[in-house]
Amino acid sequence: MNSIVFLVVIPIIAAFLSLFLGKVNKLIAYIVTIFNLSFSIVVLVSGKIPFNVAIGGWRAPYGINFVVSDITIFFLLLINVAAVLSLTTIKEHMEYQFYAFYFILLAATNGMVLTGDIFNFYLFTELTTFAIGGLVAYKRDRLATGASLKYLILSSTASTFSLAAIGLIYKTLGTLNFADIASKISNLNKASLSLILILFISSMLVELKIFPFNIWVVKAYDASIPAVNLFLHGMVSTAGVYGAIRILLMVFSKNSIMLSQSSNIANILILLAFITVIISEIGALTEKNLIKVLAFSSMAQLGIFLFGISLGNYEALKGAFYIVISNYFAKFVMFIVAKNYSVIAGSRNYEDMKGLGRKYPGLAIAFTISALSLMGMPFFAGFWGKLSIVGNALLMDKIAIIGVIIILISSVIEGVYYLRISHTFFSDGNIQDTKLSRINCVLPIILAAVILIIGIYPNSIENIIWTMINEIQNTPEKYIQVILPLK
Amino acid sequence: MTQVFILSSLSLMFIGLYGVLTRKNLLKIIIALNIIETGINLLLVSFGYIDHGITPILTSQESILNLNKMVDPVPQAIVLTSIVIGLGTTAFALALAIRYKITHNSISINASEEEEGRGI
Repeated sequence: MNSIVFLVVIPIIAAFLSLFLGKVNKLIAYIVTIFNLSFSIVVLVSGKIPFNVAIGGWRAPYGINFVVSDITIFFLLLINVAAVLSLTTIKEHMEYQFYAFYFILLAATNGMVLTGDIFNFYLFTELTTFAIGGLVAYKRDRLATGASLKYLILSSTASTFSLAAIGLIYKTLGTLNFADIASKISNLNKASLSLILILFISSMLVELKIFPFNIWVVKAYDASIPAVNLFLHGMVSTAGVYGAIRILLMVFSKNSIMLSQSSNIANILILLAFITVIISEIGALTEKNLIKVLAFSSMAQLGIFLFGISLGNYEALKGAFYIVISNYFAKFVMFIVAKNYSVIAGSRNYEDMKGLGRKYPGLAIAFTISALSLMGMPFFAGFWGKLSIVGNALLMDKIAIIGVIIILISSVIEGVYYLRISHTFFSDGNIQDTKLSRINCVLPIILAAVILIIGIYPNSIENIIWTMINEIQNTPEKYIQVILPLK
Repeated sequence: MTQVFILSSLSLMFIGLYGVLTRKNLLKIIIALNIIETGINLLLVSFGYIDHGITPILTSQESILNLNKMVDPVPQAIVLTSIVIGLGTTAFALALAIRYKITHNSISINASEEEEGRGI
């Protein structure tokens, strides 16, 4: 399966070509993205997972390698599906800069998920930073330029420190390979591990939208075009979630036990998750701009995810996966609905969208279903996530019980602002006739149906999630031995 | 000698961090970012440094005997890559700064704060 590098190489070639191709770019974007998606599906059904590809024939601890395991293929599919879905929202003509940055983003997010080398991971993170900076600034107006510049400064400052962490890893362990680090990490003393983790996590928290690295989120979402909102949500956050799972839970955990037992970092992460949830829920409650509400809400969901993975409990980890999946689908529905309604209403303020739910009931019902799922109503996908996290955190120490209280209060606050928006959609109002494109109406309904199916039959994805947790539980057998078969 | 390198690289990093956190002028922030990057590069090179080391190139059969005296080439390869990334960041940030000057008529990072209270 050496051809797995095509997932990264072909988008990069397309990024070069897109500079010269002008109007054909849209077609090429569809071809490349659908190629990536179908290639990931082919890898999934080929039955060769897990496998390891040594690039250039240099074997694992010495060269760069790409690894495909169960977690990898799951996130690859999520990212490439997100790319296809986001492309369908682009109707107008885009200039070549947009497509060049889009291809770089596609290559970088695929590479982040595939790579098995920590320096390579850093490089792909930097590429993502550039691509997002360019895509956010695409509108060329005042808001977009400010947002993009702030994101660029914040993100490059954070990632320089992760480069220092990589230097420290090389100095202490003498390797840059994920699997090699994971097998040697138990030799490292606690102080060095804490220093490395603090420096390295800083750059990951930028993509995970966790306080104090989340000041860019709301501005970037508000300033960018709808397709870029979906890129930020579906591709960059998903790759960040993958990075957190792979690096925190599999690479930097001593003897493949969970993070909380290895250092105090877990407590720090839990505190940061609390602050993120509180700040973003309060921000969303007072906000009238629908896009900003969604941005705040996605920060809150990732805060709950971080709380779930820091608990150090496999059942809670299952809940964190459910949160990721439900947030992934629900935010897609919500961003597409917000895009369509803001086009019709001529403003992003949800109070101007009165009566739209009566005119276009499908979209508003899809929005309500996703809102109920994010709140954690029973028989929606988000419920199973919040249930496992809350249920297992109750059995643990004091700090986890504080987290339970915060998550439950945040669910109530989410209920207040989401149902207020839904109510506004269905209340009386006069609107002018506008034609909506058909795919933008059908897509949210299909995704909302997926949320309902997952909510009613959680067994449909429970097996997939347990396969991934099984890989985390048995890191030495399932991950390290794939890459370093001699040990 | 390695300690001198590490100390000076740490001081460069903290000078740069101070600059990024306290300056208001965009160009000064970008320069401070560059100072951090220089500090990190120096740190990485000093990790692979050996006193009176020789270049890690195998020129003949006998040169393999000098393996202990050779400096570590991996940090140098990392630094080369990170220099290129630093160049890219700086060029991109400067290009955005030019547009920032056009759209905000100022290069103070505070100039974009007023849009917070703007009607939507």
